[in-house]
Amino acid sequence: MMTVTEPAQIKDQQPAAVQTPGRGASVQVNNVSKWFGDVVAVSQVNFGVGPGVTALLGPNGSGKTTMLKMMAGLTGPSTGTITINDTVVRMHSDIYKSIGMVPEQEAVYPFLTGYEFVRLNAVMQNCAELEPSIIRAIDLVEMRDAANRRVGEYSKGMRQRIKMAAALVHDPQVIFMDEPLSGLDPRQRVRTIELIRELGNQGKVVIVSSHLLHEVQRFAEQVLVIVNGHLAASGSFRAIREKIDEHARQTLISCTSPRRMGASLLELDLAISVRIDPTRDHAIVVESNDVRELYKSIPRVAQKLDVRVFEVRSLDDSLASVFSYVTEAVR
Amino acid sequence: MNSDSAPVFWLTARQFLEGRSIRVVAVLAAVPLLLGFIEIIASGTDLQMRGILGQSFIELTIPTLLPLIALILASSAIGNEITDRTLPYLVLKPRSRFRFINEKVLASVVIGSLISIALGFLAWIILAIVSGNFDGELIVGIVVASFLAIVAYSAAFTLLSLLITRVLMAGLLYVLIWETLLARFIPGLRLLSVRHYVQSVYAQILDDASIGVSQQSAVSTSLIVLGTLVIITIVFSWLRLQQMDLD
Repeated sequence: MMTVTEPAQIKDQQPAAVQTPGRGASVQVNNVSKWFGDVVAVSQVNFGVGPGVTALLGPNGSGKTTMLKMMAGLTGPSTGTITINDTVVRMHSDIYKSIGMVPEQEAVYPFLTGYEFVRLNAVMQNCAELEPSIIRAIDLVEMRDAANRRVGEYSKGMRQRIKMAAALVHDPQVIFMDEPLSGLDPRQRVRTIELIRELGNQGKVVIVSSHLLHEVQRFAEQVLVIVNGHLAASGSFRAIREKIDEHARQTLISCTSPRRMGASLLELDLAISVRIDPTRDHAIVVESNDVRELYKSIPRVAQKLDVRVFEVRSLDDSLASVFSYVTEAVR
Repeated sequence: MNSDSAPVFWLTARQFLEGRSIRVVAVLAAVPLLLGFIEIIASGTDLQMRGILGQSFIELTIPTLLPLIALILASSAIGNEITDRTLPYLVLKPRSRFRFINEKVLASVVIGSLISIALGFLAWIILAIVSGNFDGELIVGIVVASFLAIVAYSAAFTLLSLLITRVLMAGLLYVLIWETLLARFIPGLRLLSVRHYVQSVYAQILDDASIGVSQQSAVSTSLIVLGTLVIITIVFSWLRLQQMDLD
């Protein structure tokens, strides 16, 4: 269907502009930098995004929120241009007919009811059929029962959902969502992920920022990885994940006989190094190039050695360490 | 004008009415009423309408109370939305930001004028009933001057709230130091204060030798200066909103 770069590219220099398909809405980011005083938030970023769900992935402070705000026109780039359907976003208010934005911040007018808040957005978007648009948007996020309560009485998750309804009320072609799953309970996460996928399947351009890798893989086919203000990688999620999995990863194994377990894993070439974890009793840290194979083999090895395993845990599955693999080339 | 034709105006007006700032505004606007009661207690029916209400309006209400009322409303109209980061909900829309600024200023003007004029009128009617002197020129002067001051200060403080973050503090310093002190006592600075032009209009409506303004400007000049100030500040507010980075 779409888009960013195919196959995944781990950037070893400033990325070149990426082609987007000729049909449907599109967002083009051309040579964009943004700095605040001496701090460079985004540096020389180029990419294009077409219909479908694209995740803007990066650790906290990586520049992804700044990037999203620039794409939505909230913040102007210091250099470069951002266009949506060939129109420069800043200074062109008409473009907002086709844009919906779910900002990260929780603040919503506490004195308005959910219905009034969505209605306000519908009126300001000049929706032709006001009531049906409002009801459709509220139903999309399953907020009909709470629509007549004041937003100030809502939980964090409910505020998040009503913000989504407000952003979708005019059926926009381009949707920006900044950490949309934040504050949602597990059921609502599932529903919201389904909704994001549905929007992508409808041919809308959906750009979702997140710092949670495991969540992103549930809804985004394409990924833009931003690290330290640079576009570090872009492409299909699977390709990037495979690239990540190629790297040596550290796994903690807690068991009744860690020394024997470690020696056995080394013998079987499942580990490239093993060390005793000084912070815990009966635990080793295993470094492996093939984590999947390691995980599969641990029960078999444990059974063979008659060792009881208490815990197996990845030590570097956080997004920050995953990004360090992805961006090794850049550094 | 319904909520669909001017949604930002209605939202802002409702924001005022639901917030705490409206109570502070009401207290400030009630000061002339309080002074009236004190005068009634002190003088009984032998009070001078122009002596108490007319003079306090030119000495206290115009230079201090009205700008404070406008400051509180105008700073919360946009400043609070910048602080709590709700502004994107209103500006990321296919609507002109010039219209947005106008609706914001209008909300400050309507709420600020209604409260200050209503309480000014209440003070006037109570004093008029007690004294038996229904001074028509005085109430016209109060209504016109209140409206002009609220319009001019609301536009100016709206711009200020887009330029700096601590708008309430900066506005307070401006009101108390510039409008209340410097522009009052330093002759050349008078012509650079909103207070002077509002006082000039007020004094000429009253046409009373006991209520005068030094270096008084003509009504037409005052209206032109105040009108120009409003237009310039609204245009600059619009330009600033176009350029500024929003969180």
